[in-house]
Amino acid sequence: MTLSPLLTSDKINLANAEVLLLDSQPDGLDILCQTFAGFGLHTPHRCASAAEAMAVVQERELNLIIADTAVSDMDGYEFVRWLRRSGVKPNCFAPVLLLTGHTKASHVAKARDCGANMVVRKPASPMVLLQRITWAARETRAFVEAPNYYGPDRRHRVLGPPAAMKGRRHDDLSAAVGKATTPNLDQDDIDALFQPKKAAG
Amino acid sequence: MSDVRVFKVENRLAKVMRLPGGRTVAEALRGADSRVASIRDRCLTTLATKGAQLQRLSEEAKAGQDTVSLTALYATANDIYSIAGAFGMKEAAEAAYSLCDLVDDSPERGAINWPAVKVHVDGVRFLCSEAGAVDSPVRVAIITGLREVAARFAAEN
Repeated sequence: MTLSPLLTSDKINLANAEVLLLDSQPDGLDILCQTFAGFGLHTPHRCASAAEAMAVVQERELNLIIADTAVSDMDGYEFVRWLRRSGVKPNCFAPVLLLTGHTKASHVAKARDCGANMVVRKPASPMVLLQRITWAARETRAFVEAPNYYGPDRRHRVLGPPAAMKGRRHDDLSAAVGKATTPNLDQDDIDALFQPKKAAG
Repeated sequence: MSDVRVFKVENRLAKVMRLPGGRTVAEALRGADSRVASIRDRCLTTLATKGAQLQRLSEEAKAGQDTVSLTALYATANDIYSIAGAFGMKEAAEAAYSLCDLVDDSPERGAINWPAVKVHVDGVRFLCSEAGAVDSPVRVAIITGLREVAARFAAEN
């Protein structure tokens, strides 16, 4: 996964986005809301509890969800697990950025396994948040529904199926190289690919 | 073979962000900075209050030796870390983070190092106070001392 740098001249438009902001710490929620207001977001959905957030999920069509992991009535990981399995479309597929304060490696693994798109460690500067939001907007990963996981594909790189295994996906390529189906190039054809030629006209 | 479904979903965030209009990254960052700065004073007052709460919570946790008080102590230190960090109070944020480490690691290691917790609580309280906000050399001295305490705690365990 790479985060492409943002140029100061790049344009972002969050004016009409439906963004849910969840943090049960009032100052934390204010900081988030002010940051997004600065980004141009008109009406954030402020939620101080998971219960409020669940109600918003049922009522609005969300484009983005930012949730703190330390929520008082249900932790952020549980909230994301509920969201993914809620069946509320299109919200159950919405990108989720989880914010963490004190962060151990186990917290990051927990966030990945609950179905969040990304973990952002606090303090999240406006630049870091913007980068993550634009990354989420460029997200192309497929969704995976499995008995023990529901969320974006946790694999960021396509490495193919494990060695000596067929792979479960219909588009998994076989590791074995089959026979050529077209004639081999002869040496003149290969050389011609390396020869600069004058453009016609 | 388990029942796994892989499917593509529409990225609705990309769709709304592609609409005409909006602002440049530079404008967005300036806007965010100035709006966050507008709530700084109020947040720093909360920070001082939470710093004072730490003392009570650590005394309760020490007296009761219960996980409820310890969880509250951890949560308060975590809040302090997040707020202080957002306003560039590096030493206060680092001290609060170190306190989180101490409290979070203690149950796994079987014992709480109360002297280490106490010195952290005192340090965080000062760093979150008005005096702590202005006195830079003292801030540096406190955080250096706390780093040594945390390193000793880690080595002993």
